[in-house]
Amino acid sequence: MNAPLIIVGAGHAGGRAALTLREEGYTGRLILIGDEAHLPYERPPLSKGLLQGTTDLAGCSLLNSERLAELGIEHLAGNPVSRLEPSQHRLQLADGQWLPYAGLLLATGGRARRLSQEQANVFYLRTHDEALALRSALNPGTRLVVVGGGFIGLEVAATARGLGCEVTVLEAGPRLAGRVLPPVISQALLDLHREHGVDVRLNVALESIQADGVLLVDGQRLPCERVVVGIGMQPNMELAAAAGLEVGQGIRVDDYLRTSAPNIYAAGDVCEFRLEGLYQRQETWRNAEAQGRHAALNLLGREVPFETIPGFWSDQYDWGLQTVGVLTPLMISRPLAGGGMLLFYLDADQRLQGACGWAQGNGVAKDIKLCERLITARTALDAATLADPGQSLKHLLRG
Amino acid sequence: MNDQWIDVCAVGEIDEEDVLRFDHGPHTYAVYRSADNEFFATAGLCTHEKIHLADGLVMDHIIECPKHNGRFDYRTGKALGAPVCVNLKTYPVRVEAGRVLLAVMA
Repeated sequence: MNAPLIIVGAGHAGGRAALTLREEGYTGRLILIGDEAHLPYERPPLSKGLLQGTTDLAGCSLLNSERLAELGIEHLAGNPVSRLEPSQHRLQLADGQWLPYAGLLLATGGRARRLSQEQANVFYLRTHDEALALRSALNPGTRLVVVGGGFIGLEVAATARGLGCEVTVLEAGPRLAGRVLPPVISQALLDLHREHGVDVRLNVALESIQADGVLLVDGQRLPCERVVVGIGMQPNMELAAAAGLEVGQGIRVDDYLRTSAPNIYAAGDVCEFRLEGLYQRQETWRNAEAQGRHAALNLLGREVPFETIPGFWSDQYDWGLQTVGVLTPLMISRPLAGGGMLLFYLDADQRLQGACGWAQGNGVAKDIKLCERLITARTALDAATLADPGQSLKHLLRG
Repeated sequence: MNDQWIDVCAVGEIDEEDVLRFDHGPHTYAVYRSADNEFFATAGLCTHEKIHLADGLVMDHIIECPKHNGRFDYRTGKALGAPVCVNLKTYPVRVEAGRVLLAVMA
């Protein structure tokens, strides 16, 4: 009997890979190993619908247990992989059992980066169970301090306002989500949160967290009952590193999502791949979906290079942000009805490389999808046309 | 079971190759006008994560969900691959005296 295909990591990327293997006709033994007790689920609702109580685990799951059984996927939870031996094509579980593999996918994701200090009033948000724990800690009138003005922090702040909490956001940098967003969108986010009564403080440094408040380096003390820390993700790459696989800020892969060890692939948040020549990770829904699927195809011997246009979205209050592609120094801005905006990013030949949109609801979705097609089309675009909200991007695409 | 025809909008209120959200009672629908001026209707929410499809992009005969890029053929409701696997329900549409009418189960 052939050795099984094994997926380590039962998050979105791992789950998508397992489903794809079956959809693509793989009928051999398939094992999906996860840390969490749950079947694979998508994480974006954790800071929004799930925290708010408008959706549940079933609403974000990739599959349920009936479907799992129907597809013959063996799901192992609570028995994590402790060791990997690439030269022997096998791995060992925490209970000591060895499993051989014909092909292996590492979709081990990451964990919330933690402060060194552990305290009962401090919450993190990466998993479903963490989201539920946070939800039960947020009540009307709860004073909440959010450490970190990135997407997790901001989405938690918005949801917590909806739950009636008093919210303060502390950001160490000069603007919100400054690592990935253009200044004009950071400003729009800042205005939106302040309009909704959030006390946003930029350029502040945290001294310590106390049982009944937060102390800043400048001596200010912010009394609060709860603290959420959203300061980024740490990739779960220890298993790969210990096995001698090449790692950087994640598990390194080539253009085919192959790691440095034979028959081992990586996908999702933990995967460090080259985009525009630079090694980087993409901690996004879109990347988990695309790489999970792609790694499955290559596990089946398809040998397709992974090509992607990155992208992400964030929803806060009734506003939505979407980006696609990469942001270049050459930006053209188009105002949208209702105070929104669409930003186009061009290369030196006036070809679209990226776009970032901001509008109420899902108001930028159509334009962002058209931008994605315009990026692929690689045609030179006229700046004045892009800036004019009266010009249809669909017409531009169809020439 | 009888179909009940309800008035959606004037023909001109949906652009060519576009989609309009239409709420009726507790239900929400997506009503489409194709590039060759045919009208179609599907359930209004994506089968993946219950997002209004009318914010999505219509190209040719495909509606793409605004969030997760799930794609459906809006003429048949057929889901065209991951992340969507459940088809959309479709509803009969007709045009009468410049108005778009949608059939829902009475």
